[in-house]
Amino acid sequence: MSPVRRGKELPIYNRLPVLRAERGMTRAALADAVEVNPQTIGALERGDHYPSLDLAFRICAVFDLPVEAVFSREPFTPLSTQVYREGGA
Amino acid sequence: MTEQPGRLAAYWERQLDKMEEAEQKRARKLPGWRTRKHRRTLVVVLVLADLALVTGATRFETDPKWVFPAFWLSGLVVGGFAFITLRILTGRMSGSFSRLLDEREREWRHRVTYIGYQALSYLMLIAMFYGLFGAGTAGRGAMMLSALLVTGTTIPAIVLGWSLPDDDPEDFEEGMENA
Repeated sequence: MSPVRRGKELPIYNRLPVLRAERGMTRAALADAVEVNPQTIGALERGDHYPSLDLAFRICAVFDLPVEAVFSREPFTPLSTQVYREGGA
Repeated sequence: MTEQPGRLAAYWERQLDKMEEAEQKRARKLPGWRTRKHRRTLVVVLVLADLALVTGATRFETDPKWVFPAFWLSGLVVGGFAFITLRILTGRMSGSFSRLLDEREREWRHRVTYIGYQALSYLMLIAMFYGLFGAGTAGRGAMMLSALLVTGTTIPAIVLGWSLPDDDPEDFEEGMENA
């Protein structure tokens, strides 16, 4: 887990794996785009690290999405379910 | 006068680029060893080597004369190997300038250097009390100080090596098909 102490009740979930997969991006490519090391993208995806606000904004800029579409306090439902069952997007 | 800082800054940037390249190459070395199990094995070896240095320091200037050099030589050789290998396996967090680290790596760096600093402070206190009350000779006190100083400097690598998870091969994938 991230070495910084945080409240256990306040995790930050993200959709990085699915957003990367949609765009055919490797972790290395995303890492290059946001100027971090690829292991940090892996740590974000595994929930081992929570991003700073700066990094979160940089990631959102790469996907051209608002922060709430990429990061959430609640677990994300699968994107396909959200699009086809709930009439989203 | 105005060009000098610019040249220095450009030189420094070039050096950082070279270091970054070297770090990227180092991140791919010893791929079979990039697991927590292997790192922890090296940590145990390094701790044993540190203990050999400390034990050797207590035998300085005592009979039989071969004991001190045997402990120190083996401690330095084995510990040196384990330390350098751990530096390679723990990546830029243990060796690079902060400028080359991202936010996650800086958090790790801050954590392990803080632990290392605290531990080194206690080890220096132990060395001081050993020198004052337990060493018997100034030479033995000095050797204990050296042994504990070396031990203290290895603690950040020990903490990192013990704590870091297995490397994920996906972190190093270059290409990806768009399915």
